[in-house]
Amino acid sequence: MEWKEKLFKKVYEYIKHTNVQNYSKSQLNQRVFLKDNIDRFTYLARILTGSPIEILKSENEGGYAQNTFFLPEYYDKFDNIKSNLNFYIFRVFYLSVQKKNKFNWFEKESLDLESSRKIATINSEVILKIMFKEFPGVETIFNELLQLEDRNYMLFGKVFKDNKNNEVLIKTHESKKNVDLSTEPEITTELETSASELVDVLTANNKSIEDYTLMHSFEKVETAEEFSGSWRELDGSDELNEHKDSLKEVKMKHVVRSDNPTHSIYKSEHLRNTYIPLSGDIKSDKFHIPYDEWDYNKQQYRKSFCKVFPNEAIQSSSEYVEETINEQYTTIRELSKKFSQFYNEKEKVKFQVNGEDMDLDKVIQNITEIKIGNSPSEKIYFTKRKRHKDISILLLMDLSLSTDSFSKGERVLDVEKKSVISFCEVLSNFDARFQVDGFSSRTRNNCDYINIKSFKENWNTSKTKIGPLSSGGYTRIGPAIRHATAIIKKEKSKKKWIILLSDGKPNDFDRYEGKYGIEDVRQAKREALRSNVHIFALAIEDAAKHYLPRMFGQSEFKILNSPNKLPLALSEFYSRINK
Amino acid sequence: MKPYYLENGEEIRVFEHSEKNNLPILIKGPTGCGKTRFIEYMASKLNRQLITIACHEETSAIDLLGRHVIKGAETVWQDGPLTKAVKDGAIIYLDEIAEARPDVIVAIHSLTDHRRILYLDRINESITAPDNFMLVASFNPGYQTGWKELKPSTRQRFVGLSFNYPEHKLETQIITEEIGIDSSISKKLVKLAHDIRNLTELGLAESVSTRLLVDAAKLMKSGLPKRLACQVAITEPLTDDNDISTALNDIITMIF
Repeated sequence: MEWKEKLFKKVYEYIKHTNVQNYSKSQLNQRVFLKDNIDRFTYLARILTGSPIEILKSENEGGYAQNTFFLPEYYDKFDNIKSNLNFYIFRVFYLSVQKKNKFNWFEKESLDLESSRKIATINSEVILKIMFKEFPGVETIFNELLQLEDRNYMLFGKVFKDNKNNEVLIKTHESKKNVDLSTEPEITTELETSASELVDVLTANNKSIEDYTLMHSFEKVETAEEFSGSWRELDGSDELNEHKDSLKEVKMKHVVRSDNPTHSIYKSEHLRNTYIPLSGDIKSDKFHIPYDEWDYNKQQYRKSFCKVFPNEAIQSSSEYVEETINEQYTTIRELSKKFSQFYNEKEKVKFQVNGEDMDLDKVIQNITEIKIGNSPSEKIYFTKRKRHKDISILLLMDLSLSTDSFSKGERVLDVEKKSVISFCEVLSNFDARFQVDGFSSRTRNNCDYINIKSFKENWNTSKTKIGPLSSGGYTRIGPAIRHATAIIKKEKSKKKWIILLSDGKPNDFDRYEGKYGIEDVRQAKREALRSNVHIFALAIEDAAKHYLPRMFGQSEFKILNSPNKLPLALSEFYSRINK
Repeated sequence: MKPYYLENGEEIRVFEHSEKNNLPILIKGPTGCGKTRFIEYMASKLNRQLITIACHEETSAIDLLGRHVIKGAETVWQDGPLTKAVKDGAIIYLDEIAEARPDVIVAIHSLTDHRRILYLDRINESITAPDNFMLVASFNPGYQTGWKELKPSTRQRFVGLSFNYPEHKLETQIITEEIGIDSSISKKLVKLAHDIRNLTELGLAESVSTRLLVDAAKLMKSGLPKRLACQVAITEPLTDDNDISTALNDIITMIF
């Protein structure tokens, strides 16, 4: 760090510190944070609007754009939690009514902060009227809030520039790197910042980047402002930790996509409503299988839209597996117990000529038949038999880069790997038929599908391949499910199940996100069902409960945030199978 | 007494014509939207006896057709409800037919087509259904997708009637007239229900049914505070998820 930066850091910290001191202690205790109530507000907003609303924390007062509500990070104007909470409830109702009646800024021109607040205040008159009529209870809260909150913008937010998605066709090139996933750069720093409300995505201007050296001396001046049209070199070096404080001051209004490998992640939720790139078609010489993709906008398939490249996992290392088996010993044992219950559970088989017990009903029937002169049935015994377990399971692991992030202190990919290892250990002990595969994608032209253990292979020889698996690319779930379906379809078992382990959201570089992605996954699921293949999803992140039901249905998934939840999650799965 | 029913489409006409032409009816629709009430109403309108059988996983053909029982030293044949309905010329209503065992479906097949014959294999007897016999079945398609579905060959034997929750105005009228409560309250209840029905996407197994609304209205009429009535009659039956129920109660508080 340069001395100027050090000085800035000191001053920044001092100001931050004195800012905090302005709050009285009681106020801090009564502070209500958005993140503590976000589930409740999300459900509330969804019920009120009927749309799949997501709530993000805003930089300031917030508002809404499309299906996203922005609300302040915390609120503490009142000295009691109830009133502070009421502020949020009021805002959610207000935004819902605002959204339903489409009060936002739909013009082409951008607005500055002041006028967007002003318009919001003008709109408020009508919105309040509608709201009080529909929800009389809100009026009481509103009057309460008015007693202390004199900032109009805190109550009514600001209007956002809201526009329809327009697609821009850009060419993506096939990844220069080969499919070997281990070449992904290592992420050394990861920070999270507040959500940015509206972001423009700029297309990198290579010419300007080359000119950047000339501009170098002005760099410091620029970081304090928004993007002004001057470019600098896009590199991936890890300096994030040193610059994190200054970064927080930067308004994230413009972002750029870059191919460079990166070593730091500065995470921010944002809403891109400028354009969504769509990748052009690229020919490939390598062996691949084309799959259709579902376009819910047009309600039709895009024919042969995705290219799936089947590959074999080659690298192997026994360390990881051994470690996991030791670490997960109790889980594996518990799972085995559950399984032996399930596998040894006996069912009563009636109508037998020979059997352990006589069926009293049948005996009576037999006698009555004789009495009325019919020839009686001899099948008056019942017996208990082990259930016939006629099932094939395909475990499908999400290997996208997002699995490299942490959830509840554990790396998502590790939770996946450990769960798969524990589950497969047990499956193989019980001689079940199963396959283990993984997937990731870099646009529709490059969907990787890696086979780790096929149905025919022995688990003990394949399990060493799990350890070296690494993450990379995006999560295009649709083609992966379609390919897995094509594989498991050939199985002769009566019941065929794909178990998807993923951190949840479908997304890819080229437009495969949001509703489009979810609808494609739903369609892929429907296709699978048509081939009598069922899908059960295990999601590693808690947040998945917001979108998984929409993709897979209410009871066809389970949240799995740690490998030791596996027995619980899988018993849910088996209760589904057994129905 | 004729049960209360408010027509939500053309279902009464469809029913009457199917009845006239000896066609069986299959009613689809979510829980608590008025399927059973409709049948009760039609039976009373046509002045017919109604026999209802609630099917479950263990419902077998024997339960419907009849069985031999021992009376003293004698074995006697006892008619099941279906046999009885055929003999008496009643309306038989098989509720949740998809739940029943497959042999039930086989047993009714010959009754549902032009033959209109019920064959009792145990006593080797066939009964031809009289003109005033009618078969009505119901099932709930959303409820067990993938696990229990009716075979197409079975479904094609029925005239299909699809039920759903009524429109705003109709539903308000239903609650007002059924319970005798002020229409401003039923209006609010219906508004609440329509808001919550948006939630189906989120994964409630079942949404707010008209029956739940009627129950809530009943509690209100008998003197329970409105918010409490909604909480116990609507929120609690719908979900055990804490976040969802808090959100629902938030809305209830704001409406009432």
